[in-house]
Amino acid sequence: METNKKTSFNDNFSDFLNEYNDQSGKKEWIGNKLGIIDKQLDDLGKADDEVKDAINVTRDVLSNDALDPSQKVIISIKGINDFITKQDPDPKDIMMTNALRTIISTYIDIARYTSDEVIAREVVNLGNNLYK
Amino acid sequence: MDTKLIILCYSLTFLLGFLWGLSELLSRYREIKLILYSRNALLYLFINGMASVLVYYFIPKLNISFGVFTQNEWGKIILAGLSAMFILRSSFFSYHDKDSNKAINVGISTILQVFLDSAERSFDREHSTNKLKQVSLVMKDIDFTKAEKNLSVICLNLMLNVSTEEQKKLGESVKNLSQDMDPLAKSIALGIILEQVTGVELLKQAVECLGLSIKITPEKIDVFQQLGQLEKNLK
Repeated sequence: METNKKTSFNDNFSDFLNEYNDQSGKKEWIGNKLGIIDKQLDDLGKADDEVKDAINVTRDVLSNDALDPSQKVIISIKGINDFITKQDPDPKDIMMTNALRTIISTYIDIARYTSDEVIAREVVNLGNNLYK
Repeated sequence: MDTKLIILCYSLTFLLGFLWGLSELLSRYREIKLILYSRNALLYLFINGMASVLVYYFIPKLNISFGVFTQNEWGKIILAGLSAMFILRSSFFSYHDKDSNKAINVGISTILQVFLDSAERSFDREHSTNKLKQVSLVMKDIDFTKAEKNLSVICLNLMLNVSTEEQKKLGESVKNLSQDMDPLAKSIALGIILEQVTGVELLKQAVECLGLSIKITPEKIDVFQQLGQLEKNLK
């Protein structure tokens, strides 16, 4: 009796793990957010030519299917951080500042969603770089 | 019928109605101790019991007939005890006025339902407040990313009578938690989901067993606080 109960429990338990381990929804969610960031990068179009490379590198990262969504997040944040350092946006340039704020807000959503400390730290650095 | 027998019949009917209500509350809240110590839950059970007594009283008065059930006292007790609200809601509970030749619906079920809903809602609020306090205390230092799988697996492994459906539902609920919520809110929500299966005590034991492996580090708390501050600056 006990054995039967345990066997059926183990069968049931694997259902829970399968349900839990289905990470496709999470990856899709992050992928959608990265798609939004890709579009938001258009608003940085008025950047100086010499720093546009940083945006292009970031775009390449976002469209690289070989990378895991979490890797894409971290590398693309570094790309945008690099862009902010090189561009040093003028706080009076409302359009660029707003575009960067929107991008950072999207990254905050991702950091919260993943609860990933590394991503959160990178986003904080990005924000500190913008408001330095 | 003898007065003592009448009192016994009414008492048994009340008890059956009370137990029927208790089974309804238990199926939803799963903790008998909490139900029996709550004034609102007891009011709910009392109303259920009284509804049964009311139906038992009205069965002969309104000539309600349910075949063999209404042919003897035991049948009437079982019928009134277990299906009071159904009978009160059904078309059987309408009074046929001979003078006007019209069927008049007696609205007792509507009134009782209002009291039942109100008592249950009050109990639900009381129950939720207690649970939130207890679960928050257990989960306040827990890192959601570390606990979401480990704690769920430990809790489910400990419970032997969790059905496939419940596990599937639990898996989906945990998966759906990964929204852009605050990490602490997610940890508490995870605790609330698991507590529905394990109860607070077992959840607490499981958290203590896993110890540091699922605890949030001060660095992580700090970085998410900075993230919250950054979000405020962006607005």
